[in-house]
Amino acid sequence: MKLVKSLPPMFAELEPFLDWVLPSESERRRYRESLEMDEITEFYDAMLKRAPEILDHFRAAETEAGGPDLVDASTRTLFTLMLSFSEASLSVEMHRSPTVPDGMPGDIWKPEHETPGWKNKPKIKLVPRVTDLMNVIKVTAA
Amino acid sequence: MKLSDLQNTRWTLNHPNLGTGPVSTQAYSSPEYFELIRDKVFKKTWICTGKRIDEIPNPGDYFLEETEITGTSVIIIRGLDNKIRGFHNTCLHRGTQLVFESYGNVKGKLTCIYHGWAYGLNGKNMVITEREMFFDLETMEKDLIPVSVDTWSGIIFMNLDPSPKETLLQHIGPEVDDLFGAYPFETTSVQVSYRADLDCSWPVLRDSQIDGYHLKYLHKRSAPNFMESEESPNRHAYDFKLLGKHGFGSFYGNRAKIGADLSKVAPVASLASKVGQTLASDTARRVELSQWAKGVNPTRSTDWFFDILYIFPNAHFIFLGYQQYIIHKMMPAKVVDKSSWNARYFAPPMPEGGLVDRWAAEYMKYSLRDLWREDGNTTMGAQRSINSGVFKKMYLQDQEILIRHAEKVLEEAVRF
Repeated sequence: MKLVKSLPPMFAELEPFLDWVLPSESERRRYRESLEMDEITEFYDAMLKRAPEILDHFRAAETEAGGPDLVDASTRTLFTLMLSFSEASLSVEMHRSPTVPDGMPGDIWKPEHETPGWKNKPKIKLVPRVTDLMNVIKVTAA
Repeated sequence: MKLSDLQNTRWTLNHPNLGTGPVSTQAYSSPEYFELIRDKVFKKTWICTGKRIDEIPNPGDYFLEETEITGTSVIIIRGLDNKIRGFHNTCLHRGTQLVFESYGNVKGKLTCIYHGWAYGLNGKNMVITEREMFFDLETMEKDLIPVSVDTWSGIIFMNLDPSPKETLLQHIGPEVDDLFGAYPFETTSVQVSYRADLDCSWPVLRDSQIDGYHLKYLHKRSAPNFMESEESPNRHAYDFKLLGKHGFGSFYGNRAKIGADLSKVAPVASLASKVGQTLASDTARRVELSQWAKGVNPTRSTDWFFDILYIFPNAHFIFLGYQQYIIHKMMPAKVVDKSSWNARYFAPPMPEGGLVDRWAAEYMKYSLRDLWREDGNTTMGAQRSINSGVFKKMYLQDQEILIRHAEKVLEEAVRF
């Protein structure tokens, strides 16, 4: 799904950070790792100020639209920006570095959700445990 | 239980057969030993696929289980009778690969692209095109070659031996089944799955996830202050259990510090932990401890971080809460000094799945991913020194008992 390059009007001051809006996890992570700490921190600080309101906006927008998948394009872009905010926060809060200093290179970890087979994955359907039924079968077999 | 109560415990000494001396790195480097591991273990033991029955819920649903050390590709598929079976991914005509996608669904039969031969979901040959032209129709082997497949608590296991010498339940053993069988796995589904191919031997990789000693040091950035304890700075494990072939450990986490400090120094981590369920969330308070499965957080501590359950040979379960866990599927690759790692995180699917829930769930994914990068990093240089012959043995402390045990179980499996 293509992402529009605009945000809901009340968050217009975050528009300088639209370069962080990238469609996949790997792209967002690589972008984070390509920047200097001061650029990441600038983004982080701007987002942190508005984070609680952004979450409120999500709750309101999905109620109004009738579901999280029905929200308008600029809210979807804002959501992607929040995902990048999570990446930036790991750098600022945990690692104090654009990357993971004690960690192996990021490209070694391949997300299964970005592989071709993943889109053919059957839809998960939780199956309740059937222990009572098993007991019944055991008794009649004896 | 207070951590300081455990200061003088020496778990290893309760198991004299384990010994306390240095452990050889032979399994970590010898090509001959590697072949024994392949033939005595991976060709005939129950291997955890890391996947659950809910991932192939309907007849015709399948996934491919590829095992590098044995060079096999197996189709794990649900039949029309709802039973899950496994077959080698090979047509019986000229050995062509039948299935190419890692996941999918077929309607009623598996058809080979080469000459149109087809097989039922139970493996029986259904179609041989131009069959009247073949000479040995009565005697030819034309059904798919089966492997053994079974489930424990809905988790799918495979055994390449079509007539294994023990059932899956015998392999799991009564103790593990009793302690963990009733864990509510069936309320969860896979949320995150990452895979890495690593330049280290499988035992090095295996060891990286059965040691609690490293948590405070290696993960000081990804899990800051989670392991601090003024009362007991070494924060020894609450519990270790050796359960047949398998090993268990239960580990401390500083809940008070995590909660209080986090919102000041890591506001986003703190926010995610409140609106979702992340590493920093107070899982011990979300569901009453008395409701938890018997074997998880056995000391019923509120200052608890997680439990490790290592199921020989290839699955590490990391229990993070009442119904949240990771399965690390660690496998040897084609040669002794390479391995693969598939890390999968399971939790209940989000009820309404609103954007805030999704955001928190994604945060958890990225934080796990970064933390696992730290574990992965420790494996990389180790193999170089093992391969060169420079590093031949490991001195292990008491808290590394599960490594000692895992090596012993492996050695016994190879020698008998």
